[in-house]
Amino acid sequence: MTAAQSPIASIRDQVTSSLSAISRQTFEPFDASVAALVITTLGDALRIGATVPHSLFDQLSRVSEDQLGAAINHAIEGLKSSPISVASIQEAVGERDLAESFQIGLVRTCLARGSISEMLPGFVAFKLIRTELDELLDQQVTQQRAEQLLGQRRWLLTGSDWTRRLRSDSTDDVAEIDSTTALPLDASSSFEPTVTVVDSYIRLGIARKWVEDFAANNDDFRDRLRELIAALHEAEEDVSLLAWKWWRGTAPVPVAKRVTKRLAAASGDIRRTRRMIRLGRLDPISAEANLTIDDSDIVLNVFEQPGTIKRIEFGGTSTTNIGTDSTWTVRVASSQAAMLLRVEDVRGQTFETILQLSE
Amino acid sequence: MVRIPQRVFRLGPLRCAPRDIPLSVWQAHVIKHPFGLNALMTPRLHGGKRRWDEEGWHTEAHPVITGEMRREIAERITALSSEGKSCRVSRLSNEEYGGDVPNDWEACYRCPQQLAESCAEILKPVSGAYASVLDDTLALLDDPNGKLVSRASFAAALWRCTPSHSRPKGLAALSVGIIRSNDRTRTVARINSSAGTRIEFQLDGAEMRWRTTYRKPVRTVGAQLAFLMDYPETPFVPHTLSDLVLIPRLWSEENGVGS
Repeated sequence: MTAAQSPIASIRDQVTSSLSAISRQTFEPFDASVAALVITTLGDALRIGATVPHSLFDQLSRVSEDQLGAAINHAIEGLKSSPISVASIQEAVGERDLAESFQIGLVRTCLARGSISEMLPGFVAFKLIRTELDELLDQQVTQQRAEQLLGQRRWLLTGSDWTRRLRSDSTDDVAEIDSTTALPLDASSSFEPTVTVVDSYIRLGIARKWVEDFAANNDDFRDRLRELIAALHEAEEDVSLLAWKWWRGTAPVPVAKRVTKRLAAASGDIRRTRRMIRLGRLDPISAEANLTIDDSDIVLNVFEQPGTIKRIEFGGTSTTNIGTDSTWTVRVASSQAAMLLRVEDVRGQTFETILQLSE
Repeated sequence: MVRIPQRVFRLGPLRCAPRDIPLSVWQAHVIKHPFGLNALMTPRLHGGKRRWDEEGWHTEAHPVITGEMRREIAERITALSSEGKSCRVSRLSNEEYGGDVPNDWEACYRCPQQLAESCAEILKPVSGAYASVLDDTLALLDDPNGKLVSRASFAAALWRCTPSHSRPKGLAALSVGIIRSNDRTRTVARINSSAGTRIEFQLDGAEMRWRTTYRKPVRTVGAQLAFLMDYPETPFVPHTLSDLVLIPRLWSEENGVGS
């Protein structure tokens, strides 16, 4: 036996194994409950980024419209039987999440068949009942609580976020967490951050104190966090400057200069699109930043709490002039390789890092 | 107190030894699950009336309870009186219900000791059969009957069973993970059986302490597959058994499950 994997890797393995076994089978004799579970598993795979064997799409493309309708009816029955009492809310949240995967899997199945999910018998009714359940859940549970109650399936939320339609619990709202002050040390270091919090930390630097304090006291969590940051960085996902600093210390932050090319629909000319990279929060300064890169320029935007920043230096250009709406903007030529970013606030605190441009 | 299970079971690296469960807690579970109050008091999105037998304890090869037994027991419990106190569980006699959920339907947890003891006598046939489900299920996985396999290979083996629609029988799968409630996170061992029975244990190191037994009817092949693979949450810092599942060795060998 090998050492236990991270939860996401573990689920991905299970889903991949299931799909591999499923793809070696046919749907004959047809069973609507099995078809519904296959489509839901396909949805799980798409949500978590697992590889889907191409032969599965071949098989699904041979399932008739009526058979898909029967699978939808099975999914509808699952939703209808969702318990709606507060005591059983966990089961209802689970049913709702299965419905999310089912819908994603069904839409992908229809793409493989060259059809449209909305045209399938029962699909509109499925979505109506799903919305009905959403409204009911919204009365009974907050987004944060729902994510907790999802158990194993909450790890799928990294790729789909139906829970954001629920009201947020203001005392546990990730988006409102001030990364330096919101959680006192004793509280923040004793509770394991949820997957949403970890994700927000890595991408935006939110809830830094909570995540970094917990990591400081828990070796396994620290190792997993490093792996997760490395994996996201490798996948060219946004990694916040704070998460990078925690991971790599003072090493320059690599920023790919690559700008996507695409054909303009009207003229057929090649156009380059601007690329936006979120840098996240700039603790200890109450501000966050992003970069916009195009062919010739790199634009740094820093969004501050009004009256916070005194001076910004970026790529050899410095400014003490704030723009509109509490936004500071510094534009530099994209020809440079290493660029110092230094932000100073009115209290004399500074945030400093080096961005390293690469092709 | 009720002592469960009847003997020591060794389940891979885990151990489940007999422990005393407070009578009120045990009675509450018997009333909620085999007796069906939980089903009656759980309204559904498109519900209507719920039936007491939705957990399906009457469908076992050796039924834990039947409709006739239930009617008789309900009558006797309702007639009980001890020191001026009587049963306060609402709708105990109902066989179906679709109204508002009363606050006191879980009154067993607060039942006076003497009344609970009298009630336990009446419920003995159901209670004994309910407890046996625990022992019988643990026996499927007790050393050397159990085998630890990866969840991935177990999933693949279950899917391989589906084309013939041969629904697994005598299968139980033990997994370890966490469950969250309002106040805390608990590490639990969960057993899902092919009959739709779920048994959960609180885990303290390697020691398992029973926390609940209930059933989720698995009427379709798909529902059974999903139920068997419904594990407790893997924590961000995984448990050593997080990627594994303990299943009957015989089933594993018959279905070619690799480790």
